[in-house]
Amino acid sequence: MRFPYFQLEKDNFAPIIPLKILGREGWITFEAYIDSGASFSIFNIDRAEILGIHPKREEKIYLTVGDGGLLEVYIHRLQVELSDLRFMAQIGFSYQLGIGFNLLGRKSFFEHFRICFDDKKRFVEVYNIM
Amino acid sequence: MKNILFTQKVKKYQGKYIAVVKNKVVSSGKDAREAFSLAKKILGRKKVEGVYYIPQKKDLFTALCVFHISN
Repeated sequence: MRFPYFQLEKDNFAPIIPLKILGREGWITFEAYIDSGASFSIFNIDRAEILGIHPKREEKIYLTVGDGGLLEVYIHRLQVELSDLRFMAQIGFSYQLGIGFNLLGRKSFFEHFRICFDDKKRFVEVYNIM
Repeated sequence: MKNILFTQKVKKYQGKYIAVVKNKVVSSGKDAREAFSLAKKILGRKKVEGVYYIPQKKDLFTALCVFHISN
């Protein structure tokens, strides 16, 4: 499936795509920035509240970020839907994510899909390889 | 139908969060929780289908990376 880049201006764009996650009250879609440099997908903690899940109930890990700092992340296994494929994915929730959007990292996603970025044509293609 | 995230309609919400039903903005807020709660009040029993952050210009110049896992 092909997703156009999120684009504000001619030279201001990013591979942000919609990702469906199954919460306590059903499916809800969030935006996620495809970050091939991220080991894990990380969502802001308020998305966990919207999904009706208690973030601190699950395993806590620390991820190192670009400046060497540590990010406290609670890893949940949740059902997700991307590119018409439903599967269980590990999603991390963090109180410390200092950016507005969520990150879609390699774990669980790059194992299911081949993801090709086309900055020239401003789209990202997500191929199911399962 | 093209997801509203990829349309020009969301540009006015840069830096804010929006709640969406049937590809239409129902509410917006300074954080995801606020946009979601407001949408729930407006919608009653109807479900919120999506909550999106609409990035602003400065958000899109990033050097994202998260690596090395430790317990």
